[in-house]
Amino acid sequence: MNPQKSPPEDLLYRPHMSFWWWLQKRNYFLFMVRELSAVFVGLFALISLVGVYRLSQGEDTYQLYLNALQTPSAQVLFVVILLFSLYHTLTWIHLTPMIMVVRIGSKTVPPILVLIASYLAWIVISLILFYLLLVN
Amino acid sequence: MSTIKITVTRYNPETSSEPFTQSYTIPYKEDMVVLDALNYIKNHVDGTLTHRWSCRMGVCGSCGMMVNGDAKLTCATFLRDYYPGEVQVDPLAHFPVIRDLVIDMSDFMDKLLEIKPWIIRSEEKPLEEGEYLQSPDELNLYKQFSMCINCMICYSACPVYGHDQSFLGPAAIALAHRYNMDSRDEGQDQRAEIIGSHEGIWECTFVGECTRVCPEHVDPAAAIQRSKVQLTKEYFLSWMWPWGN
Amino acid sequence: MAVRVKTTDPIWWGLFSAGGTLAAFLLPVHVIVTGVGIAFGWVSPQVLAYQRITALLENPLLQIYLFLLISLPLFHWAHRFRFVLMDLGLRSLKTPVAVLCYGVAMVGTLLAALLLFF
Repeated sequence: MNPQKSPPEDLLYRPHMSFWWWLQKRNYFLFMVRELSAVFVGLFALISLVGVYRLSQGEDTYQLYLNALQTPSAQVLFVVILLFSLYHTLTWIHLTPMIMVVRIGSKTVPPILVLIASYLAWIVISLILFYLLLVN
Repeated sequence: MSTIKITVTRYNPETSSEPFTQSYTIPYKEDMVVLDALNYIKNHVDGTLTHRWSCRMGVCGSCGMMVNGDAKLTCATFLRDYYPGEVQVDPLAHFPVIRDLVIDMSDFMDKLLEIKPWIIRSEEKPLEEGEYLQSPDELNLYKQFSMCINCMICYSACPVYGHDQSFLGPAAIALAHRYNMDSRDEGQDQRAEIIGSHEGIWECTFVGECTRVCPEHVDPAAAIQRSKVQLTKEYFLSWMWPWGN
Repeated sequence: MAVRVKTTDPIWWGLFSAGGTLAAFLLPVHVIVTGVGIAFGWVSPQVLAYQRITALLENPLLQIYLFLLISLPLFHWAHRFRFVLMDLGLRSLKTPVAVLCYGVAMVGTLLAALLLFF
């Protein structure tokens, strides 16, 4: 197949994207917030990893770790992590019906039902997890 | 008589290597679209203004431009939505500009051909056996993806394409998905090589703006993510059952 | 089944989505339990006590659970962060950024595995 003909390169004007493109539209900004939520998700995984490491060093070191989690600065960080983690959950659930086409027989399940089911699943899983973590 | 100020980004490589803006104040009527304003300028004020258009009814996909920063079909964008404010018209973002509001679409045209947007059969059945039949349910699986008019508005809303023109981009992948989902088509393997390559679906970060700006309500973002899910599943399955099915 | 994808992208994208799904459904509860819950009085400090956690981690299923809870979100971060940097225009550093991001996630995964399983 013949490639399309472009005018000579020196006659073209090639625009460049600004570093701040994500501030130019609300949707772009929300996208950036969504993507940066991963930083806090990763940070929590890292904090948990440190916890596992401290645990392996014995009770006293682990207690220092637990104490560190309760300092005001750590608590502020956890509030931020919680907010981003909830934002991640909401955006992830809202994008699910767009990606997952659930079919029963030859019929497609309406996306809104997939969305509701995802929300219900999140709530039920969270309640069960709370119960298991707190009661056992 | 009421008037409206239209500011247009212009570019003429014969006189300057940088674009510049020029403003025109023209008569305003409530039923005018942005394309009408550009045609008025061209016909009555400044014949050197260059822009691309054809059907002026939202079918041909030629008149896509940036209107006050948003990618729009100018034939379907009314001035009254901005009046009495001003209107700024720029060429479609992320594409090289040839002159004024005319962009170079050859990159998109190449990509369109690459994904083979036609029905591929491993073996054509003889004419006397009749047409390839399809049920309404089978049609609905791809119908919305077939509404694309190749206006490239999704490309100008896509920051991934803006950063890297090697990315296959929304419309081309949506169209590949349209044929992949067609029950009459057998070309998935050929298209998977293109869309499954690194510059295909994997570069997409699911900004989702392509879907929001599409004048024909095609959902390229969904097409891309669904292709990712499908090809990822396949990839891991081929690990688990390398001897095939 | 014929392998139609010849890049490693499905691996990274697969880990990213697995981590994203896991984080979406499980992380808020875990952040509350290990994070703000005790200070807000919703969770008893006993929940994270040494004896309780070590006893729970005797169970291999819970070891695997905690391993996945650490590893998959790390890969989720790695993939998203890699592409955020691309979307901020760091295309010229494509390969080093990818190596660094997935490298961190792999090291974290390895450490979690060593600490939990050995």
